[in-house]
Amino acid sequence: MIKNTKILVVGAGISGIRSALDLAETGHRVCLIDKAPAMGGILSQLDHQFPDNHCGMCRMLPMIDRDNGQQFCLRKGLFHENIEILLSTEIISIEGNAGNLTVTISRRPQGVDPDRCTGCRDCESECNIEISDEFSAGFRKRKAIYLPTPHQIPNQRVIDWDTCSLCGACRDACPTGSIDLDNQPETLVLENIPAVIISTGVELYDPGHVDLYGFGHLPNVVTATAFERILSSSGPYQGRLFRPSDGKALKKIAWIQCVGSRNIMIGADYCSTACCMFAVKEALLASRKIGKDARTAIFYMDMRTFGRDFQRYKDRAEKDAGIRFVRCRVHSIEPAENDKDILISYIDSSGNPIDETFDMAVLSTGKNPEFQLPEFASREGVFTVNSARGFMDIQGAVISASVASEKAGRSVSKKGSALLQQRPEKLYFDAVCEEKPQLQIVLCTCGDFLKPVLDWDRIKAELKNMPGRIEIARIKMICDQNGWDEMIAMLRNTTANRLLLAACNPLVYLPRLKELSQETGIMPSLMEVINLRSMVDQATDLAFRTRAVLCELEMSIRRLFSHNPVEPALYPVSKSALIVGAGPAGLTAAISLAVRDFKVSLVEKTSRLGGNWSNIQSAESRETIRTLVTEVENHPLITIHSEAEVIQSFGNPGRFVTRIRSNNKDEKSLLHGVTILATGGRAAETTAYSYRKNNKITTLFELEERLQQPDFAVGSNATIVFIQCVDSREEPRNYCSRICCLKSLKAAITLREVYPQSQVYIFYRDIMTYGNSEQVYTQARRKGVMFIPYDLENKPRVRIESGRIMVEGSDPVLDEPVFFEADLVALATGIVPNPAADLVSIFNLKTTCDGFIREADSKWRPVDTGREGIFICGVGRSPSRANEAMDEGKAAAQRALRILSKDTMIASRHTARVRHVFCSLCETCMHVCPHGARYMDFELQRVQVDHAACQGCGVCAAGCPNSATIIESFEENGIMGAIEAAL
Amino acid sequence: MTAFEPKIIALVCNWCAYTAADLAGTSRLSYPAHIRMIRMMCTGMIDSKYILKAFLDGADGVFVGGCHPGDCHYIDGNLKAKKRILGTGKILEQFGFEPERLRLRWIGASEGPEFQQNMTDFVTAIKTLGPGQTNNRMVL
Ligand code: FES
Repeated sequence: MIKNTKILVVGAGISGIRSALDLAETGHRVCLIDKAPAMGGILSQLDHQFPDNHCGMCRMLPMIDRDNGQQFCLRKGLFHENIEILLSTEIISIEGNAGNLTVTISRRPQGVDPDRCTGCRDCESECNIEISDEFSAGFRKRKAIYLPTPHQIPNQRVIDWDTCSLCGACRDACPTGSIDLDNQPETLVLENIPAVIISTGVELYDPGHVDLYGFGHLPNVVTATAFERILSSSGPYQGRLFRPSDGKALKKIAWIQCVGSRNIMIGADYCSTACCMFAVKEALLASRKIGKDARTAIFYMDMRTFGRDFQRYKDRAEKDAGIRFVRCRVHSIEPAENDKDILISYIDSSGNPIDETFDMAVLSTGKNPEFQLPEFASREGVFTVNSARGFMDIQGAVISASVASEKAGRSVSKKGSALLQQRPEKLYFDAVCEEKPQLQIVLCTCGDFLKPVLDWDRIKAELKNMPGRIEIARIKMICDQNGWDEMIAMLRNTTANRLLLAACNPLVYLPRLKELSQETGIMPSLMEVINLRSMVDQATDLAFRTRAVLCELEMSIRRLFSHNPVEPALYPVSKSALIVGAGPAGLTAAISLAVRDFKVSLVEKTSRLGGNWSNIQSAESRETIRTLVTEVENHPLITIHSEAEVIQSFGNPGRFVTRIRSNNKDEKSLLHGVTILATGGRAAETTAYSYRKNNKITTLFELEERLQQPDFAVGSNATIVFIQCVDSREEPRNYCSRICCLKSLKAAITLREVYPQSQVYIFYRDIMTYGNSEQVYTQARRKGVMFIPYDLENKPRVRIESGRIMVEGSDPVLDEPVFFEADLVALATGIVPNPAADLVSIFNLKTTCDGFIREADSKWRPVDTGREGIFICGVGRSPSRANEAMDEGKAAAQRALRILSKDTMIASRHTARVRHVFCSLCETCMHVCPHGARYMDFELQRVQVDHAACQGCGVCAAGCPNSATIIESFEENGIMGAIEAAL
Repeated sequence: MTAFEPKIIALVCNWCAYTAADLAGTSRLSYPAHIRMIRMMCTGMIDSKYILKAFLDGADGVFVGGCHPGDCHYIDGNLKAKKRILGTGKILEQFGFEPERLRLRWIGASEGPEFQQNMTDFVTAIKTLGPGQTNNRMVL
């Protein structure tokens, strides 16, 4: 039985990683488990993500207190001081009460001892079981002992017990005896678990169920995830676009949307949300790879480009890459005449049946309708991330993960469970700066492997001759525990203050350096690991190999000697927050921080809390916000500054000073540790469709308001027309406002219910009912609301003829014009952000071309800004529904807690330092710094570095004309020395 | 006469090219062994001095590997590097080095095969150019 007060996070995909990191960074201990033998969930299979089409997962890593975690690719694995990771582990049961749960887990052994495995692959070649490899979506075969993902570190193999026949061949083949065939799962009971977060993701639909699409028996019909593997350079064809059946170079590819989603016949009355953009991205990447011969088409029902930047991305894909978007439901996929290509049959928008051949079809599969959350997910004290309920894009998953960690953190703090004590950084490093550099080199001979392949006498002799105090030791195998212990024992007895480990993959050792440092007193930043093994593998003859190894060793030696660490600067954190904007997002954030005992100053421009009511008409949301307002107004830790605005702000994460001015011209300075901007938005104005020329032409928001009024009336057999996307999703306002479709549908349903005789038409381009809001769309169709699609070339027209409103459009199915005389026209004008130019310049942030405040990264850091300590949420950042804005508020608060929960800001190592004597105050560094970590200290007349915001990227050092800036561990003389040594 | 084995320095970004190199290594994709890699946190960190130093000290080629545009861990360090490297190429010419001896490429973390390909190509290119020679000595 394990005595444990860790928060348990179940599922190590991006949501799970996000939640785990959120909690770890706020001082909780976390245990992260996953039933798979590798981390990363579905993202481990995807190399490319919208919008930059590359992976940016590493941006989720901690940015403050970076030394607690890793500083390398997150797909290689996760490592953080406060996170324990258990793979191949599943939950059996959860018992107990909220705050004190008992969780039983079962852990399958991986079969291979990571400490002993050298990655030689002998086991794999001996295994005679071959099955299709899930990671490469079946394009490759794998053995029963295999590598779950190519990038994972340590990359030792695991045994798949479900297929292994326990024949023992691998065990006998293993030269280091690291294989154990005992496959009995171990059952562990974890007690005193304060909270559990379920972030298991959703199961994908298996398109094998739809016979019509030939999946499973037509090799050239694949899923979108499988296509991602074809695109990947670690995929079956090294990233070249060949098709699986005959290796033909792909040219003509079709994507079929909504496979298994938006299909009431199979109980899938939801939209899987992410697949549209997933398909557009894949089609774009494929078109680029194929070049001018590419013929890509996406068959869709509605293109759900509902994110802030999605529509422009899609437009570019359509215009620049020539992707064809075809609105239809494909009814079947069959083999083409040549038996290799495939034949897609569909009815085009004018009702003509069309058969078209393609090289390959990609099925956009979403959530499996049969998927269900485990029963314990509904227990008290168990928090489920939204991305475990329905398929989500990365941004959604990341935000919902932070929401879950906020809830878990909140419940735990209420229960008074102690956070980790913040340990003062070790002071034993002090002496290092004074001491003369002395280096210990540890050479791992990798068992007996490296002995014969290198000229050890020469290595020893040459190292002896190098300048500086150097000791050399040889250890047989530092990766196994004996070797490691032997090394620690030896290091304890040396006076060395620098360590060079020449072994194998450095990424395996980096996570262990901190532990090593605690054992030996050598600073982690004065340790370096180099990969002896790979050098030996690359080079051919003994002399050459030895020369290469010596070269690399000398390079590292030169760098290590150049390091000159200084004690990192510490400064106290002001335990309070400034929140600008009291809409749903700002209010939620305020509560989230106040319930954790942090003071909040809430600055609101208007005299009223609650934000823009015109966006929030549904009775439910109104009620939620009303409660929120009361809660904020009554909270003792929240100070409300209404009719006030920010006029100036400066400072660093953990200590900002902001001046605010209220309406009566009173000015006040606030000291705060973090800033959250929730500036919100408002209804867009329009002049389109004869708006205002007749009082029966209203905006959707006005209609909603009128619908609430008791005296609202239209004739019982009135004709009511909704027009969607007014001035939206085309330049200059080329984005979807996310809220209008749902509002129009709801209003249409209400009207049909009240006036069953009425005719309700909705002119739409794409109905954006992502996720479960699809159900409202279904309901509206059932209620007899009529839907007429239009495109930009064929917009509906509204005319007023002697007081009568005439609406004219064209019916694409009949290809005929349609006319109505409307009794009411509602225009869905969408929302625009509140003007934020002043704030943006005060806080030194950026906006998008539409005036939304730009986040640090739209996928991985959606509520951070480019400046640490300043966060954004709600409509000021991106159009969102009220509940989404509130979620963002929680997520922003959670991000803010990383700073507020600290007593002092501890600078990470590898930050920039200025040698003031060389500095000419040219301010180049201040301009180039991407994190705003440089500022001018007018009192001292110096350019200073904010060590909490500095990420150590070194752009300042490279830009400095006087070499006045140094980056710890990347000192100029060290790199120059390494270059000399290399040549 | 022994074959010309060029001396090549690769300055690679920790987040992408270095990771790709690691992936190439663990996937057993071999690339020429006479490349000496120096890990940087970001290509934005690479001072022109380093490149000049390398050439003046006898390097035949310098390879810089960074994240794809839009993908830099520090927002746009790679684009700043691109500018700087363009400038450095011009300076190299004044020293009598062909600007092709300095090459900047974007290599994503998962692009092990691309890393291998780039290295092989670069070595071939340098081999065709022959040893680097300067007409201008300077000590950095
Ligand atoms: S982090 Fe890779 S180039 Fe900047």
